[in-house]
Amino acid sequence: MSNWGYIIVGWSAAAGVLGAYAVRLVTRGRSLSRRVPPERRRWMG
Amino acid sequence: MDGLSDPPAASVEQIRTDDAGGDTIVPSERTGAARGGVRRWLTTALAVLAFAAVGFVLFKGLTDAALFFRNADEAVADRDDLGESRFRLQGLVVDGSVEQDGDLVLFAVEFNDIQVDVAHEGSPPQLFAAGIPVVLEGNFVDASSPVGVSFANTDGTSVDGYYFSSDRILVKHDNEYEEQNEDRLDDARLGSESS
Amino acid sequence: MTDTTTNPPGAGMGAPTRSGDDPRNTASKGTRVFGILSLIGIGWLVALGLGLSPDDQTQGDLVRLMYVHVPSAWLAYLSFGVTAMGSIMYLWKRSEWWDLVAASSAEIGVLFTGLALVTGMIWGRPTWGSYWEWGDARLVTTLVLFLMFLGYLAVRRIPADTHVRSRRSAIVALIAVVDIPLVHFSVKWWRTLHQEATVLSSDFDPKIDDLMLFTLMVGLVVFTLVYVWFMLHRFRVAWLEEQLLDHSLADAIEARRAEAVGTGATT
Repeated sequence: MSNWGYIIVGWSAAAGVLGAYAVRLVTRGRSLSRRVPPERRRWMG
Repeated sequence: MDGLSDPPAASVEQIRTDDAGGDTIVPSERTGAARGGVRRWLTTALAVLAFAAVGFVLFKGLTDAALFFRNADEAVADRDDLGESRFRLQGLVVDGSVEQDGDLVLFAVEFNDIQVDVAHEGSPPQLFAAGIPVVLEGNFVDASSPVGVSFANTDGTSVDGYYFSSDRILVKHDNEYEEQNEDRLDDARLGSESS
Repeated sequence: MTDTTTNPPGAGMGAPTRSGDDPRNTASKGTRVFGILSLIGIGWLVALGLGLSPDDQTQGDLVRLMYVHVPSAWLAYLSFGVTAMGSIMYLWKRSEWWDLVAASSAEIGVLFTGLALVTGMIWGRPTWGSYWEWGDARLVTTLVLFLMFLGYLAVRRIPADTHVRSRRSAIVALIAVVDIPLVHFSVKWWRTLHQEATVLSSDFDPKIDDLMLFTLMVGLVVFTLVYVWFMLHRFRVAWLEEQLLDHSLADAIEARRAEAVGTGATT
């Protein structure tokens, strides 16, 4: 009676979703940075 | 922080005044009327769809909730009203009552000292065991037991003359977590652990 | 990648960005710190959650799903809480900055809510014996939360004047966030299959093994670190998108065209 299948699927779902989102954020940030002139990049202060 | 909001706000104004005729066309629509129209249509449809789905989920939840959770003592009190209608019965699986008879699992559930005999058809989930709270789906049957079997292991506190026929067991685990004790490991695995 | 020649590292020198900001992406000193802390934390969480923490008396090893499910759900609360705060601040100050905070946090919140739903289903199958129960108030209110904020994100994308969009979405967010107390107290107010809160129990006496509680707390901290990292990047992405949308769409189209052709000639 092993439940490791469920455990692995659950943890992988978390890792996959968070990892994919992280990659997507960085990629979007890069491509947007290319298009916005540097003097308009003040965001946080 | 306030100062930071100025640049975008100011530039929106700028776009508007730059616009020939000073109309209030939004920036994103300036990529082309057709594309803006499609985008507006699509996003609006998506938003409507999401909120419609909320309605559906609430409806589904509310209709299903009518079927939800009668504790064993309440179910016994309402037995005449319930008749043979389907509902969900909640209770603790009584120690030592679990017994397999062919396709049937026979046991009793208890809530507030009131017991109900249960005959379940099918295989119970893996965490099913004596001492575990369960939610059963099914109905009362006006007979002391299914044909050909009897509830041998119940201790007689059950109300006689009917039993609960279940075709679905959900294990309701509680919110307490305790380290598994090695001594009890084997018992737990056998599904006969007592707490 | 191919733009190192058009946007050399020194391109942002004159810009009022803080030290550590990289003009080629949305990274900064802050994101690097939180990124590294997150990675270290994830290592700890995996070691504790999948290895060192004990099996549960009744659930056995399935208790290990708690360490991703519960932090996901908590972070959903946090994310939408920040969205609500950003929305209120927007309506008060009329500052686009707060609107973008709200928007960024909402997207991340949808992500965590989805994760809480999925991990919950995976946990529910072996423990309850069911992936999903329509009659369970906790499950249904959480799904409603997920859908309402999906709706919020869709509303944000409806083309409109910036102020109109921001006000509209702030109102939607404040309606949607009402569901959070319903989600949290659903297990108290209605009979649910879902168990009641362990750590945030009403008597503040969590009935949970020490190492399990510690692992759960590590999970919470790690997910929060990841959230902060996400927020920093997501806010900057939103900010850059606003800049593109606002200041000169014509320029942006030009840049995109140039990129597509491969000349790479921007500003």
